[in-house]
Amino acid sequence: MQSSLDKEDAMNIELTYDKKTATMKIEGILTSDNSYILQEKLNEVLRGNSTLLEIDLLECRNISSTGIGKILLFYKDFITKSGEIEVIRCSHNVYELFSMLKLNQLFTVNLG
Amino acid sequence: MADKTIRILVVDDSISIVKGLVKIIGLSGFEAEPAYNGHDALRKLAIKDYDMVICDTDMPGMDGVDLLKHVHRDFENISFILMTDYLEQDIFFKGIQNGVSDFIRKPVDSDQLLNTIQIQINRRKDDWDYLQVSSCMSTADLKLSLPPHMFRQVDFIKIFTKFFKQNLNLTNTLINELLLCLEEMLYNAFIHGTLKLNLKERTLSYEEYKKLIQSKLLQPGVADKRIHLRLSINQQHQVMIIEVEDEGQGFDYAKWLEHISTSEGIRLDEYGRGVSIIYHLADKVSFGKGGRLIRIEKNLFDAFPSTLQASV
Repeated sequence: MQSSLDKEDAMNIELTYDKKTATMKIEGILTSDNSYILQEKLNEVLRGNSTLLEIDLLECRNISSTGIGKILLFYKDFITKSGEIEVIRCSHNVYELFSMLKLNQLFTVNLG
Repeated sequence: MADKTIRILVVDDSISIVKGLVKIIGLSGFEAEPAYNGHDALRKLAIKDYDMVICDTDMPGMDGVDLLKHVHRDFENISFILMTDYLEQDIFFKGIQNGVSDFIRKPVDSDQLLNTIQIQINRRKDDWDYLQVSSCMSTADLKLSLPPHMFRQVDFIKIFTKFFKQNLNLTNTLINELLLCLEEMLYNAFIHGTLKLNLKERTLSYEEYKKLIQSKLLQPGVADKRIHLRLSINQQHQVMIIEVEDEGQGFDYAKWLEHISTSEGIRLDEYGRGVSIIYHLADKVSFGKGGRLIRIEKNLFDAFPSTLQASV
């Protein structure tokens, strides 16, 4: 189908670096459709020399299972490079979701 | 609505213009607050509810159209008025494309300003009245048969956010939960039931994934299929039923339900998280037709105190 008819992404990801720390701020709704943007950004972090990925999800209002899957696949590869993930902020909804899926057993998830 | 004070955020990098407009608006019985750039405006919008934003187009950093995009994306019930001292075609089109409510020419004439504000208030009242009448709806039963190519074109989350907001007086938390369930149900029906993508195909690079989906959608056996969505709302009993049925081969849902209810940890290579999310967020989950049909029930009363609600 023509790209002009494709959906627009209601999501934005800002990725910044400070020495060995990468900070990813996700805004909007992370759906199954736009999670490829997250995958591309995570791949960028993986290719770099960061050892800590801080994820800011305070402005992320929803995150689908596909988005969570991308984070988990990244986590699996990142820990083999001695990398660590920390969710530095997240909304109540996302916190509940991460707790329900037991992601807080894998990395630190901070609320608000 | 009639008794509520209208709160307006005035955004301009010129301190004197902002102060002047805030004064005029305030003297007319509205509550007006200043912001001196786009980021300042977004910070204020995130912590307080505003009915309207009046914003200059030409600002350093985030300009008026950029701010409009953010507001339109993140705050759906805010009227947005752009102020411009020259109505360039480009700004006009960008404004319209991004959902601007109206334009005001600079230098701002106070009568024109107040008239424009009043027009927006009237529109908002119409929307509010519509919601009030809709909230009296006793039952509704909506059935859709969606062709798969629509899943590449239409953002169902946006469509149903609008639908829920326009027709149901629900908290943002409830809307978020319903949307997440709906998204997982539709995505599963599309990716698994209709396209039959395996794990390897689902983890391709985006360009390869996009090409694969485009080619699959052209196959007659895929293009002819439909995904059936049913939304049944009973406001009297405060319950919404969502059913999604695909025309695929189904799956062993009993195994998944057992796994979810007994699982104590997370495996990194696990899939089926979508079902886990639905299971967690819905009040009742059931499957039928060999796993081709999933049905959830969601109670529509407030689940959380208002202080915990995240905005949609």
